[in-house]
Amino acid sequence: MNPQLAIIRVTLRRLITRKRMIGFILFASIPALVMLFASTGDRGPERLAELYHSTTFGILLAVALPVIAIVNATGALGDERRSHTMPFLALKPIPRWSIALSTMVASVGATLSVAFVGVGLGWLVAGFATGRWDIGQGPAMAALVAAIGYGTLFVPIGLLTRRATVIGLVYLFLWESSFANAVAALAPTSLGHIALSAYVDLAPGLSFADSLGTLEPGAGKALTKMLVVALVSLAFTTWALHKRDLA
Amino acid sequence: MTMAAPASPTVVLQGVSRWFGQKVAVSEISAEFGAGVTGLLGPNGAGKTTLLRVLTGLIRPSEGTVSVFGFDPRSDYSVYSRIALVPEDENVYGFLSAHEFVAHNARLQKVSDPDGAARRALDMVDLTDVADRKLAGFSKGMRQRAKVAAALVHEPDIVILDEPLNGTDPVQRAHLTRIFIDMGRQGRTVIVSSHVLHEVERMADRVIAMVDGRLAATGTVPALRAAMSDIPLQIRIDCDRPRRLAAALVENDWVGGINVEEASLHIRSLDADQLGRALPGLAQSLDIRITRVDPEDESLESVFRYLVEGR
Repeated sequence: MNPQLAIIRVTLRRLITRKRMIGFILFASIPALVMLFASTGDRGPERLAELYHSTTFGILLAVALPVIAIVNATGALGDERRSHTMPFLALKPIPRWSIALSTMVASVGATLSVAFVGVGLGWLVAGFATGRWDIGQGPAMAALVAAIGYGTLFVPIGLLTRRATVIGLVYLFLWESSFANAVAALAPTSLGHIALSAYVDLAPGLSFADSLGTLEPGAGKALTKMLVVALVSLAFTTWALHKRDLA
Repeated sequence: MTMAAPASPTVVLQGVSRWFGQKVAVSEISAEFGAGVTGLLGPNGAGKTTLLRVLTGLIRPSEGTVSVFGFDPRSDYSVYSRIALVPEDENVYGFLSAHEFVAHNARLQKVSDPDGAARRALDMVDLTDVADRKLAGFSKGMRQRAKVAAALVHEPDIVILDEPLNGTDPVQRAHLTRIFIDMGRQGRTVIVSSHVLHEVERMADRVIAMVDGRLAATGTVPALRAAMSDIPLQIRIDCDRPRRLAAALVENDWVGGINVEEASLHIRSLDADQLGRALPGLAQSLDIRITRVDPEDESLESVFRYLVEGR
């Protein structure tokens, strides 16, 4: 196993603890539970599909996934610093960009492992209820896009400040949920709205597509934007590991 | 107070200072480290840990330069294949077993057989029996030993140990001390920070004392003591008539004070040489039988106490 894989493995083990996983999976499974209850009623496939999309986006992708991703990302390197284990990682003959990239991969991986459980459970329930098995494409793509964005952006912030999780939640609930929703021109500055543009591209005709603001639907574009966010975060994390104090 | 620097220094600090806001943690330290064990001494808050962090590149110096094998560790990470740090902090990856932890460090050091190297390192610190137990369940002393194993797993040329004996029992201390001494004898640079002075005295060829972030003294323990000729020496003299001898000695200006007991006296001498020259003559002229003369403060403890309190 090379050093990069070793870092990814240990970071994943640190981020994916049993208690945390149970909590996160329950959180991410709320849309599936809602769908399970809804499917026992007399709603038709169209209404069930609409409910699936609104709960999956409104609960899983707009709240649960960003919160989980922010917790994972801020802890990926931040926990090393806060728990004083950074020497075991930093005092090694490994380029700083490689350490940054490995922890980001772990951060995104930890988030995706939870998100895909939530998306997958919802997809199974919705698939059985509506008979439409392509219904999960939009959520899966949006989850991937969002996990890359949130899961990388907050890694350097976690390294630089102890209040990274609070900063992340303020960004999420103040900036994304309030300002970017209220002002159409601010939508491109919101990771959640970019993820929504991927969602809407693969699941057209959704009622909440109006909240895209000035963004155009496009899964490819959304993925590209998030990869740019990831690259910028990688460069910033590498700089921070190189220039800032690590203890 | 200095002594000759190592012939082939592996670590060189030049004018290193580090401050945090208004607080100066390390001030203008220049020192060289080479093969053998060097003890880094100082009370809490002296700046030892900060200096070791600067030395390893974990934190930047505010001023000055650090060179490890001729390279700055903050810009050339390849030197980390030759360095190991055992940090003071107790925290380790509690979710890993001792073997996993040490093997992980071996992998990050690109050791060719990480599991084999981990087994050997754990055996060296007597943790083989508990190698598969999670570190979270380890005592402080066991964690210390696991950290030492993780540091030594790639057989580094420079080993930096920040309070490595903390939490270990006497048997473990003796064992770890032996390991550090052996590494020094093998020609490795071993830097041990500690406030347990007699242990450092036992293992270190050379001592660097820090006080208030500054370099207070460097040298071997005996050399330090000899160099500090202006430090009052406490000397115990056992004799049959201590009061009479005390009365004769107290007239001399090189005697700082005398404490008389039933069969001995403790002299605080400002000039040990003068005392050594005067004592036989006094004893003979006063017909006093002296049975023992012992310096009471030759230990590093006393030197260190003087450095700390005398400033």
